[in-house]
Amino acid sequence: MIAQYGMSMSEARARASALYALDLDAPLIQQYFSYMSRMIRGDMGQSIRSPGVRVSWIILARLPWTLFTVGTGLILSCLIGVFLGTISAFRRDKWYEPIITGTSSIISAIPDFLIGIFLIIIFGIITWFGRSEPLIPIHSMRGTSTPGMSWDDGIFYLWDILVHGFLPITTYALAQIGMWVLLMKGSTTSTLNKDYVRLAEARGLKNSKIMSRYVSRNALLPIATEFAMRMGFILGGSLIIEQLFVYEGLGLELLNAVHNRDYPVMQGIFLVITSCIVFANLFAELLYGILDPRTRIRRSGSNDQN
Amino acid sequence: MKRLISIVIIFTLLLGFFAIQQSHNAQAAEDIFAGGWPYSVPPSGHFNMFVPDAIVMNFFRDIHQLPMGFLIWADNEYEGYLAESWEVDEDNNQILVNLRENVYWHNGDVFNADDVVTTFTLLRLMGASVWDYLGDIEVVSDTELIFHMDRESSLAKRLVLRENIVDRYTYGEYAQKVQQLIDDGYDRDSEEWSGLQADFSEFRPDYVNATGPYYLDPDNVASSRVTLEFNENSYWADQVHFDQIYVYNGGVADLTPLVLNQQADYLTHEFPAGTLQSFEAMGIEFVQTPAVDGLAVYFNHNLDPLDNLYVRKALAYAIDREEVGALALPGVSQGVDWVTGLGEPTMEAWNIDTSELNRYENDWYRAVELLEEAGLFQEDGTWFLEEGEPFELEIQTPAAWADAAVAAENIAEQLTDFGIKTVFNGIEEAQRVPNIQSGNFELALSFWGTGQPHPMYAFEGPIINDNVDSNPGLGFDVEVTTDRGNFNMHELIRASAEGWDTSDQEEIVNDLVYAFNQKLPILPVFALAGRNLTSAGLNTEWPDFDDPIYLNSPGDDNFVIISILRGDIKPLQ
Repeated sequence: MIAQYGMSMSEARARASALYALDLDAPLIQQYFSYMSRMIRGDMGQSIRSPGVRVSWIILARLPWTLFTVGTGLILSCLIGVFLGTISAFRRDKWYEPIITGTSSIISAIPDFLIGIFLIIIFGIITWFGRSEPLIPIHSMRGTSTPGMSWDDGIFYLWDILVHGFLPITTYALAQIGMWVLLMKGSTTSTLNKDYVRLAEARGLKNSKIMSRYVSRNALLPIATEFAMRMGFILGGSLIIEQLFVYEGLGLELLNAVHNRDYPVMQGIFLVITSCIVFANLFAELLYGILDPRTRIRRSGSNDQN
Repeated sequence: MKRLISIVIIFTLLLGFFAIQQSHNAQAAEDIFAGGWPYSVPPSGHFNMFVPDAIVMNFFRDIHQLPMGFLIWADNEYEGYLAESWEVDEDNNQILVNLRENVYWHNGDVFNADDVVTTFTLLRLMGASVWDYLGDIEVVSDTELIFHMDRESSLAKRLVLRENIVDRYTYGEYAQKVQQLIDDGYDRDSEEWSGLQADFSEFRPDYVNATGPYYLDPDNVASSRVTLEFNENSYWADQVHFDQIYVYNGGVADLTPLVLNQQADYLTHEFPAGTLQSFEAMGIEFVQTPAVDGLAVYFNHNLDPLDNLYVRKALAYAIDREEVGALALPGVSQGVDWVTGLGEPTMEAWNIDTSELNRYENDWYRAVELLEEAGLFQEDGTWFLEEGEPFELEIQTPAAWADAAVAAENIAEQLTDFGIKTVFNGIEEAQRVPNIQSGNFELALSFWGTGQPHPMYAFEGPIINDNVDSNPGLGFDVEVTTDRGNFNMHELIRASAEGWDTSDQEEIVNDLVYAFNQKLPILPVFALAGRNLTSAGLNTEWPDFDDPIYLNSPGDDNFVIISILRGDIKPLQ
């Protein structure tokens, strides 16, 4: 603040004290506990660059947009990836299997921001089929919604949000879809070789029944764990994409905070991202226990032995 | 079931595509002028125009909250907007302003002297520089004001006329509180004053009143763009030709696709050379703006041997500025001819005498002589300090600034070839000023020059803000001895703006330029003759590019804003 806003030392101290509601003359440990107790209650202090605005207000304003786009992208990519991965595992003798696997390998190697740039160029800049304009009017799809539209516009606003989220969601989905296909294919292929699947085949059960009851349920275990863990990165993985599409989510806010050295906002967003990752990991652990009864039995068995 | 789902998906996609096209066509039906500037949407961005991070959008504010006048640089005269006429009364040290009559705000209120007083009272609260000169404002009538100055300065007229005027309806309550504090005898140093400042900083208006032909409706602010709607109450409503003004949010990378889509009518952003070529191939035309500023090498005078004038001069001779200028941003940047701290248009306007100035043309023999005079020595092509340590340097600049990064790398290569091993350190943009002001650098690339008409601002940044007022900052000693006499450069800078008569100031500015040229507090390397992107001939009709209006600085009295207000920029029929 001294360097950026030309404040004197005493002014900067007073400002810092006000921003975090801290007594800077108190012992450090007391300041720390005071700060932490406020954090736990959701009071993350005030923004430096926008005086009077609480960090929690900023996060609450931006978070839903990031959750919407990255979350939808994650769910879509997972659903499509699982579907394609299962097909390519079951139909390894078909002509399209190498296409699915090859394409997935290539896509999963491309960084998400490059996919975003490609989408903009292909659909938003290049004109196709003799048209005078590109397929998508990229200038009216930037941001989270069209200026002037609000919830008062009802279903049209919802539609507008979907239209504006289309490119970021597609980018997130494409960036992850390859990974889900390869993961699902690998998991399904290894499950297909299990004794219980062969036994089911020997019993003459229908392919569809073997696929749904024996293979998919077991093959989905690592997918579920990966999905839970990826949920943790929903908030952290959106910086460049949000900047690319000028999408006012948490990632873009973090970038702006970094550029403006707005430490309270940075701290608040980092805290949210970190908490999200920690809770997602915890959730993944718990989920695995629920989905795979063997892990619970083994644990309880080992406890009995002790 | 599968078929049904497929039909629903296809139908949804078609509907979406149709909706997008419809919205696109609906927009295309109106006459829109589109520019761009980065901003933050609420809650971090806001509409209190006196507080940081407000949605000001640089010069686009001038089209909705007009100033009393704009400077027309070509003839150095102001063109009145909210003010109809003005007169500087040098004998009584005051400026008399007559406001334009029949001007209305967007909410229907009449514009009058109270609005001007409200604006300047809040500027006083927030410590604006106009109050370094202004003593008091006297309201003679609804349309007549007298600005009583405490200090005589030619800057005062600009500081008064060029301020964007806000309305008493939105800000009047706070202006009254400030006035109450003043009446009660409190000043800027009092706790009460600071308290009111803090309180006002948290004030968040939900309405932005406008005198200009467009107004900013907070409901029309989105992360994509701000839409400035037509203000039919404006005095200038009949003069403009556009229904709306769009200001797209973003920097160079964000706005490039819009330019490729021919959706931008005017941008001041500096695009990379390759991108500029693509734009030109599309038929996009650019306006050349005056080269009044650029990037300079900042020396850390706190460090040995950069505190030695011979060494700084040697570095000036060792660096080929023309080469740096040609590489930094081809077509835009150009090596500095005169090491004065002023752009050539400013030098010309202020009659700078160049006959005694050192040009520091690239000359390695001279650089070698100077380094040897400073006590350094050369072995196997490498320079060593007097104590025997190798003379090595680091040059830092924001890695994200394409022109600065290229320039810094080229300077590092040139100095390394000369025998001073120099490495480039790309830093985060936000660290540039703090690093310089805290002396955490050896060489740094940062700004020189000014877009303001008065040269004082060119010297104020590096010599006062980053040096005198910083600890330790550049560490440059402002007490200098030259062939023309002994000067305190800090005092010269302040004195350069004193008095009403600019011809008296020219002599001081000449001394200042000479001292700068002789003592090299910083070394201007290249000037940026900006190329502003236009849609002239594609979507819009502009004044000819040789019109004197383009001599105006884009950042300070933007020629596009003035041309729109005059009705000189219009949609292409």
